[in-house]
Amino acid sequence: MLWAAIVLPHLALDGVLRRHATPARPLALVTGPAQRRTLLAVNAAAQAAGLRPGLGLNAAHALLPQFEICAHDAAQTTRLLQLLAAWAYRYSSLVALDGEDAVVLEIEASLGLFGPWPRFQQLLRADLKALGFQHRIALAPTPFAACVLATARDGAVVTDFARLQETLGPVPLHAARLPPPQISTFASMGIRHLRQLFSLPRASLARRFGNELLSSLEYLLGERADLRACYRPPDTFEAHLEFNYEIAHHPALLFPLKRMVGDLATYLSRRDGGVQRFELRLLHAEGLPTALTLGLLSPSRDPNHLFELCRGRLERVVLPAPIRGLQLLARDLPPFIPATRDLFATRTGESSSWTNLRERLRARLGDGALLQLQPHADPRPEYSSRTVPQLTAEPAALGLPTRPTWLLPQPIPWRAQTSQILLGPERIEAGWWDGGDVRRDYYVLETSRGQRAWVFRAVGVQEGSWMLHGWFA
Amino acid sequence: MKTPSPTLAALLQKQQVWRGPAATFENSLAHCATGFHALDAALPLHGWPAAGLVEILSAAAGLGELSLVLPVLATLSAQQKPILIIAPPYRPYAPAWQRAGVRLAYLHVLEAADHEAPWAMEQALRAGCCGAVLAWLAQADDKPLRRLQVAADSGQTLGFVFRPPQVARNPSPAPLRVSVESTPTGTTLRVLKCRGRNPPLNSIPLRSALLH
Repeated sequence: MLWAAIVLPHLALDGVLRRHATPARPLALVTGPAQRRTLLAVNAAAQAAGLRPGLGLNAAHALLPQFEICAHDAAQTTRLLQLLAAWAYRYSSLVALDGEDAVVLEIEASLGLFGPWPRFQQLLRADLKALGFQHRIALAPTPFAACVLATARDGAVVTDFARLQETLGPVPLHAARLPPPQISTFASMGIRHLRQLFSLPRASLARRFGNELLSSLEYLLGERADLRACYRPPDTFEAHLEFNYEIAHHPALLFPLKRMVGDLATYLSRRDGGVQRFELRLLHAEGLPTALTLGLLSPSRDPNHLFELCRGRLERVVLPAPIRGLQLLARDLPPFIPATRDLFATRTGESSSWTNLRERLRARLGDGALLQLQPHADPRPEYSSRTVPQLTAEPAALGLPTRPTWLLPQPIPWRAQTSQILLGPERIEAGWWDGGDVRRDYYVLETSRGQRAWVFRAVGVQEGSWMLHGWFA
Repeated sequence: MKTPSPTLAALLQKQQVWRGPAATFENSLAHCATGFHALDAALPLHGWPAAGLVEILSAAAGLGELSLVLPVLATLSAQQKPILIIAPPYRPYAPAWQRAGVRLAYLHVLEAADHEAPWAMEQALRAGCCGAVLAWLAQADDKPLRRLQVAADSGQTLGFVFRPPQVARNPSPAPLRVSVESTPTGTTLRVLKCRGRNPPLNSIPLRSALLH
């Protein structure tokens, strides 16, 4: 394995400058408590004026009255490193972070695609330059050695273990990425280069400086396998779009939305996943964003399908204020199971288009609008037919006697003129277990207009209280 | 010199005479049996069309208007085709539908407001993935129905529209219109319009006054 290390010596500063409108003006990153702020990093213009890292803010103002101050945000730096890891992931499947300023990637497997190394290196450097990061790159057989070499000597290349120790020898200890307190101890011992450290007996080194240093050396020379947690692309998708004008009606949103959903679909197909639930946020100039949650019954990654879904939902939204931005968040990304098709199917794509139709109807009419029916083993008619969002299998039949095809949600008093009784009575007496006790005699009646009704009378009541409960339609 | 009078075949060959689609009509359209022999015999296709809009006019619930379509729904659901019921007047009662042979796993009920129901039905018909789409459109006039008819044709799907009998005298784009009527001897069925043939004059008994 060959590891390329990319060390970013000015990561925090680059992160600020790459988004800055006037990066040529003097600028300094400051850190520390409010009373004692010190400079963490300065750009070229500030350095030319005499500012340097570690200087107090007051002293810096004495040297240069006018310069821009940015507070250092450690979390932002971590995000930048994640961004760079995501970028490196396109060149290699093995990407790891080293410390707070380096990314290492295994390139031997990728040489066939991007190689040879000089060309590969050019690609990396061109990308980093476009991204706006100052960088140092080196190649070595172990990830740690690559980082050390990159810190010490930009562009260094070692491809075999035999030359590794020899190449690392002249590296000064302060560039060797060892724990800082030990570096000062070594300096006072007169040990300034890695070569001197290599020549010391290992056992006494371990005794005096601890196992951490020893394992660092072993990692460096590849004597111990360097098992690092590799970078994994995040399991979420986020896209953000700001408009520099206000949008008051949703048709104007459709075009940017289509691109955004297209990005999501590309992302999903790259990781061979689907999306089941995602959120579309309409950002307003002020106030909370309007959030639309779109849920699907099964994972999908078809851009047209997802777009139709968004459009159906957008059409129903009443915009409280003009829109300044659009945000798409997808956190629930389950594996995608493509619809299997029969080899000899006559009507191809039938089930997938039913899925699409189902989602389209739900998007416009609400998630609860589409129902399926499930019989439930309860003698009381109002409990024996349930609605569920989706049936997975054909439910078992209940084997009840004659029942109406329509059931009224609530029994209502029977007012129509009865011409004859066709069937009945059928006694239904149940529900003692949950308090919803019923004692009813059901009849099938026919009205003078020819309608057939399912009507009941409570047991023990003689006259008057006939209730309509269903229709034999 | 006298020019010979053109023969019929020659005229047809020149494509100057337009022929009605009657010949292709019978051949091209498949059908599904209604489950009622008398109705099958009365209809030009000997059953419901496999694709197209069927209008069922019924004065009130409980006349047997659903029993008219349950056999075909049972057949279609047994073929594992989804059946969509849009804006029904009441909740379908699962045990009874299951008893009628409809497979509930393929039965879907969509609750929609009156103004959304035609849209939903058009989407479902056009998608072409449903076995049958049923909708109760009390408010719709012939304009949405025309859209639905076109959608049913393009999606090759069978659609049933249930409407009140007052609209019987208005023209309708549906190729088949059936009215469920109550008579002293039971409910009967009258075919108001059927494409491909004059509607039969006599009505067809649907349900006799005595429970069978």
